[in-house]
Amino acid sequence: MPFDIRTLTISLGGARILHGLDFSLPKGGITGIIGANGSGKTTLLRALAGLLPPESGQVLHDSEEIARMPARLRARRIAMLPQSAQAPPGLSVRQLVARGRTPWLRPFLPMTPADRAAVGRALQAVGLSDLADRQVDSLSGGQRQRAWIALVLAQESGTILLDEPLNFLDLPHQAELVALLKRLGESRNVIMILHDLTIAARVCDRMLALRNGRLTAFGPTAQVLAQDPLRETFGIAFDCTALPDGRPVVLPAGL
Amino acid sequence: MRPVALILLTILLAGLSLSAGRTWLAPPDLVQALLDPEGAGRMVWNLRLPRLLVGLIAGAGFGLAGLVFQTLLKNPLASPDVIGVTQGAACGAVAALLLGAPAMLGAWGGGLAAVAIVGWLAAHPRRGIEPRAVVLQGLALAIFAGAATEALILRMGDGTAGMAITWLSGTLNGVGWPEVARGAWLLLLMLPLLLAGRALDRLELGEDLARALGVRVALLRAGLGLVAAIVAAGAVALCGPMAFVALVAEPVGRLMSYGRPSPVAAMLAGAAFVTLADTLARAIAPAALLPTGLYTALIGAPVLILAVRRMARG
Repeated sequence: MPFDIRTLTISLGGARILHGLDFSLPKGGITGIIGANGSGKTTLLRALAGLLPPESGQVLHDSEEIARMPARLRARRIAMLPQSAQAPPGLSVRQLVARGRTPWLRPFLPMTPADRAAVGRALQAVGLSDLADRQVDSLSGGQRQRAWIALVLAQESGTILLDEPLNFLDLPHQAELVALLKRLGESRNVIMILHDLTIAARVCDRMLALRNGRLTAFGPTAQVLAQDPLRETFGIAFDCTALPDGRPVVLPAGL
Repeated sequence: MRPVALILLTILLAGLSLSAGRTWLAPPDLVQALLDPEGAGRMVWNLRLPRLLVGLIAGAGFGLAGLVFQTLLKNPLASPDVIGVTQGAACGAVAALLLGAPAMLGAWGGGLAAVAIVGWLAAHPRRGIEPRAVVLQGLALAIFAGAATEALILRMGDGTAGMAITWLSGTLNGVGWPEVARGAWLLLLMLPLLLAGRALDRLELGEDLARALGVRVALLRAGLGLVAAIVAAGAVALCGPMAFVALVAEPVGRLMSYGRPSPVAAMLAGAAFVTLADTLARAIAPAALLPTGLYTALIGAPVLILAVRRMARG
């Protein structure tokens, strides 16, 4: 089990954000986290990355408690792309992606050929090899988002956490990134927060729904994207239908 | 390319500094003086060389401390001479002088007290220490520490008070080998700051991403902030609170290292800056003994304006 969450409770500044979550994620595939604003999605993702110590309960990764892992070793196993990530000025795409090698670098020594090869593979995987020497500032929104994904790929961790990676992208770029994420899900554990339920239906193998810091649904995508769990998660009614191939399509009722 | 230019510039300015003064030395005379510490080179060895070395060390310390504070607090204004660390150190040093204690100890006490007070004032109960609050609270603390220092000076005799006032604008007058020996200790303390380049660079990706990459941000903030305060206070003890050095070294160092936070570049920029100012202090009016800090302020203000404008344009 990549992740075992046991009665995880987290408070921030005195306010309880997550109330005793309990679930286990199986190996591989893509897990989508959904929920309304303020439901605790980002807090859960940060806890999975080991950035927030549990107030009570445990977060286990491959049966090891994350809170006890040394930061560098944890970073080799779990990568996270937060929404707050900012590209410092003056970096080329390759230099930005190379930052992903940080947990593998020997202290105070430069990158090894193996590090450079990992950066090259990451650039290739997101299709940015030709733009590697361009300044990050000069990229389009879609290219920039792919550069960030490449940074996380260069970290070469088995688990990748993404906070709304599809935000601010137009439809063609979303489609392109979804294809990339699906490829990633074949070899790694990908866990990401998503807002767009239509896209979530197409990309996620399983989903986890939160409301006010409590789990409202967890299971295969088709099971979570159904009228009852969605009403419980978002507090409004949904129209649910399915494409000919069986994948669900959902819309808030009355839209 | 550009970092090498900064090294060459520092060496060039150091040579110029040794030549300059009431009597100017041509390059061959300077070499001869350096080779003969007991005879012809006595003046260079006893006066100019220790003065140069202390200036280099203090400048390096100011530059490093500036880089660390400005990067940790994500604010190009948050240098130790703006957030009150330098003023606190100066106040502590003057108090120590009045009590007959070593100035270095007083400066360290004052500098650390300033960091502790600013950290406490700027701490938000939920969000932790807020960088913007540090700058504003630090500004207030700097003014308060300045007033306290003046109050202390008023209690001194005329002669000591005059010296203290010159020292308060930052001066290398009267510096000798004992100060170099004390500065050598400071070099040791600068080592962790010199090695912090990668961590500071990762912090600029945002705190969460830096942590996800395995950087221990909280430890780094506390450790580097503490060491940077000690280094800045130590530099104050050596040559007084020299204006603008810490503030200017960071943007200049960044320009020289392609926009990245480079401790080596900030250190060299600070060292070169103090050396240049002290050379001017001794070359323009050798008899007047004008404080070096006067010239760091005169050069620093326009350099800062240019650097900020250039960065704003990208």
